[in-house]
Amino acid sequence: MMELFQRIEDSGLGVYIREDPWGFAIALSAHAVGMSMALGVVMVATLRSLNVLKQVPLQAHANLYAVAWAGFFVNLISGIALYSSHAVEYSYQVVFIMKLLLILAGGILFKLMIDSARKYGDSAGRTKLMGFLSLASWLGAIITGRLMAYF
Amino acid sequence: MTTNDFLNILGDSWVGEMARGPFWMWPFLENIHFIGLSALVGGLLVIDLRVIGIGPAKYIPMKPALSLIPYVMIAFSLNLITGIIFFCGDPFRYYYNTAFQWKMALIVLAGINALWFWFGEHAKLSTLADGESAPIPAKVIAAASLALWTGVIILGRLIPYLE
Repeated sequence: MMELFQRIEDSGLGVYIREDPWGFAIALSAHAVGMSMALGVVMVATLRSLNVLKQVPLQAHANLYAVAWAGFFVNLISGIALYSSHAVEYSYQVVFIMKLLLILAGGILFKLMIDSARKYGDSAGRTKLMGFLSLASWLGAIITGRLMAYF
Repeated sequence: MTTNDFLNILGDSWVGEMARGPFWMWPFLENIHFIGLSALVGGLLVIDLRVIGIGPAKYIPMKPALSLIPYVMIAFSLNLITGIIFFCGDPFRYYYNTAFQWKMALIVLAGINALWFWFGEHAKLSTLADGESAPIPAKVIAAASLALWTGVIILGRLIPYLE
């Protein structure tokens, strides 16, 4: 595995992002913009399920899911670029692995929230629970991502 | 009193000392700042994309969308407060930082833009029917809002790189 991570790090993309004076900064900026798009939509929708922003029906937020997906793909691409620049270090970083798992959980739970809202209503108990767990996972993904600079 | 005297006062204040306090304080504040920025953009996406009327976003009902304005203000306040604490924690670094200076300029423009929206367009918009197109000036303001805040995020992220 170590060899594979080393090869990713030595790839053209990895070298560029790590060594170009602007490579890492540009990828990080894109990552922050993508985060705001994906997490922004996730937050208004999950807070709706928790009856915090209840004037907007979940069905209305569905009109912005394409924006959330766009943000997600911006971050998938910028994330791969950032990862390739320090693949060996990140692959063994606990907060990074936690971040990936939290993104996976947050996405699945968000889908379960939408399905539940369709079946049982925007503020049904099950919708609330899935919304709460999804929001917690996504906030956890922001936090563990930010903490990669510290641990 | 010179600017540098003022920056020294901020740096020596209890707010500055708090920011440089325990090791977890800075990353803790950064996390709030990132969550606040996501919340801010989320609220703006609902309002601004509805007003611009791009794709399916025009089917978001206008009145509920406008009800997110207080949410946006709370998110902005979180980031204003954490931002002021960061500034006091390291005032010389931020004050003389190019990316930070541009970031502040864009936030001021975004603020003026928001006031223009509130006083010039808000009343007209709240009477729009579902799916009805917003007036052109409102669309321009909404597009400017998204562009300015995207710039704010990018410049904020560039603070360590654009000294």
